[in-house]
Amino acid sequence: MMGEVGWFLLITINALVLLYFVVLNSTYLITSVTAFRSLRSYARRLKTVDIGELIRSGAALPVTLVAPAYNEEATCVEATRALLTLEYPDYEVVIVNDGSTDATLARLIEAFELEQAPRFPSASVPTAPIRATYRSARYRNLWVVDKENGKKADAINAGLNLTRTPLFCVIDSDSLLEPQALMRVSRPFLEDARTIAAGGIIRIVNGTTVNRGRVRDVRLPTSLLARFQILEYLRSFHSGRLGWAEMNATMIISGAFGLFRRWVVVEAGGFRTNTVGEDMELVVRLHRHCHDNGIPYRIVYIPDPVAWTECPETVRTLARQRDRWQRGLVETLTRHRTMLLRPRYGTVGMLSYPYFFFLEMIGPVIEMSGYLAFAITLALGLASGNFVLAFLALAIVFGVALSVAALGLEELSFRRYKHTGDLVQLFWLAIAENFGYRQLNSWWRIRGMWSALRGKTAWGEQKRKGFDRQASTP
Amino acid sequence: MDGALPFSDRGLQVVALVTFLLLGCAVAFTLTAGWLRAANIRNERRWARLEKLWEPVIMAVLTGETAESELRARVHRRDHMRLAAFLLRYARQLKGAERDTVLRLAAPYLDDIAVDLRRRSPEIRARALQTLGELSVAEYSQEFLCALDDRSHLVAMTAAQALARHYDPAYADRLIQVLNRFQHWSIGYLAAMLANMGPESAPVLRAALADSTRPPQVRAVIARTLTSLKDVGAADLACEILKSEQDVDLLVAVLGLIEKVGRRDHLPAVRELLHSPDHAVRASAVSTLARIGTTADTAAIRSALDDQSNWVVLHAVRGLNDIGEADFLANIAGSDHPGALAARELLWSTQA
Repeated sequence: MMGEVGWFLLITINALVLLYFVVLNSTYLITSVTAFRSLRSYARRLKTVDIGELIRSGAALPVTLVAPAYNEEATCVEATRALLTLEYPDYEVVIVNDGSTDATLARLIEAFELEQAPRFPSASVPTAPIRATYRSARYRNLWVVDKENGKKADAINAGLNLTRTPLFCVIDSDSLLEPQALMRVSRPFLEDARTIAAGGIIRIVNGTTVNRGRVRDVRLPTSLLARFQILEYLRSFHSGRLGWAEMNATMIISGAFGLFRRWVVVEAGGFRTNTVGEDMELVVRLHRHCHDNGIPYRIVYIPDPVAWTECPETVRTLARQRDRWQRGLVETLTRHRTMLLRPRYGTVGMLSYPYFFFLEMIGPVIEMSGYLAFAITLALGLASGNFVLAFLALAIVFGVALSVAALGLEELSFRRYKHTGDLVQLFWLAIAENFGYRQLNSWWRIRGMWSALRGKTAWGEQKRKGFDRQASTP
Repeated sequence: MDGALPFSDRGLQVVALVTFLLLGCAVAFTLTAGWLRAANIRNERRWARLEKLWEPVIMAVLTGETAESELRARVHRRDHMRLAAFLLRYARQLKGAERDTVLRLAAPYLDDIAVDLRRRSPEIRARALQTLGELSVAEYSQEFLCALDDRSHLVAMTAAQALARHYDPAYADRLIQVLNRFQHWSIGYLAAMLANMGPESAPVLRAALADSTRPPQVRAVIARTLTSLKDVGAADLACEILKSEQDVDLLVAVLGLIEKVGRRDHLPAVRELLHSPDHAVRASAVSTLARIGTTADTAAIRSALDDQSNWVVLHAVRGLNDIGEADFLANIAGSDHPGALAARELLWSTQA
């Protein structure tokens, strides 16, 4: 009896893993092909856009940049300075000090000659109490809000309440925007008034030379872990997000860089504070809000506006980050599960939601069970070693092909890694990541799921080096 | 339990086949990326070399040291498009006689660019129009007018932008007509584009604004354009629209126009809108009253401080400051009125 149950379980798991594998990789393949078409036409289209002319035209919609900061004393001054040098005709910067326990506020006050100034809110999304608002005596478009700690989403909501422009941009205070990033990411709002949110690409700054808030020489970092993440980001943004955006089914706009139409976010209730995945949660809620209320809308991803961010370089920090991401994913997808496979939510309900639910959320569990089931199958001699090896080879080659396709898309479009040696390294990493890194990632994500089920809410800190120290040693 | 899982040899063959296919794809992707990298590097070097060769000649032509024919002699036929793109950079930066010289230098190569207007890719057609739009709209005006009807919105918009920049009364009607195609574009963006036509276009714009058969979005764009052009002649028409229209975007745009060029006899229509159900309309009405109103409107602006919308309160505070009600604002700032913080902010900013 036990033997039959075990036998049945083994067959089921193997079948499930095979099905998961086929569906997951077919989806990746479809999004990659869609992304290829989209990126090719986008790269051509970019040649017709004169960003300088757009800036001069007076058509740009005013923007408020909201950057929440918690214990960012190492990077906050430089990052804020970079925000003040963006090429955009009409924008304000609101840094929200979310109850930092280090010298973040003091650094900002000193560097930008901040003085206390009253500021009337335009909206009243609930937040932790505001202690004071400051305005810079040197840069009239710079405001700093000092508030009690309420975590990232709460800090963004405090900034949202003080926003008076039609658009507001959320960025991490430790991210570095390229000078034209804001103009580029705001373009979809000019070209289609139904656009309610747009995201740009996040690139990893580790290893590159940063001088006065500008990225100068893009190089690969020395840390292998950071290199793997570069490849992962390229794959995720070039193949994944671009592909989904082309199908009008974008589910994530990174919290590190996203531009939103103010009124619709306020109407939807602002960012949710009781989740660690507030960026994805907001985008999913916006989809739901617009569908439920019959608001015509577009949520887009465009690949040329760049925000640079520092990635973790230790296994421990990376594990915590992935754990948090997975918790955010689980929280969002379970909260809005009513959208799953509901035709009224369009391509989001019928395509991207099921993808994230079954493949991204539950996927790691199936993948890890698969490794185990395969090992048992092999150990018991229930399947030929050839078959197992062939299947593993297929899994690896599929992964490599997708990564290499993402690198091809990068080369076809933006070519940020100018040094040929770096490109060769990335190709090599596309193979190497399949032996250890990928499995570790699945394990961290399973732990994230477990944390979500236990109701863990902690963020986990990442110690920043600061952009000045990112320069690779010559 | 028969001792083996149901994996057949056929299954193994399929897996192996797919693996080899994918491996082939991965290798092909790698080779393509490598080839792209090599081709890009080669092209970049070539263009850098050519630009280094052309730049001193162009500068010499601009300063009158060299004849224009000198440049033509140095350009190979296959590089015509590249030279035109290079000259485009100069055309964007220069003005007056120097720009005219650049346009003359580019003239022989424009027909090569016009060929791209027949290409299948809309991006290529748009790019050709953009280049021609900078270098010679008059010469290719028919192509531009045709492009307004192009099936691609990108191409039509590029043509419209070029025609608006090089205004001719013959284009105005067509440009306004084509706005129907761009109803989803930002009102501000379209208004900024039309404003390039300049004050001579005002009569045509006014006629379009008066035409109630046009979509409200289009009329809002036109009202915003007339606001940018500070067209005094449109004020009465705007007032009539306030009395008859309901669309929020149109009302806000028209209130903005009256705020800029309106007179006191337009006040009754504006006052009516202080009670609009939409906060954006109420806020604009408050600002307009503050700009063109009389002392009789002070009480209405003061009571807007009690509005439930923070936007209306902000407009009211600014309006009160504009009409010299600083003492009243100081009183509010020191009180526990819901608008106290707005008043404090304004007083702080005027002192700073």
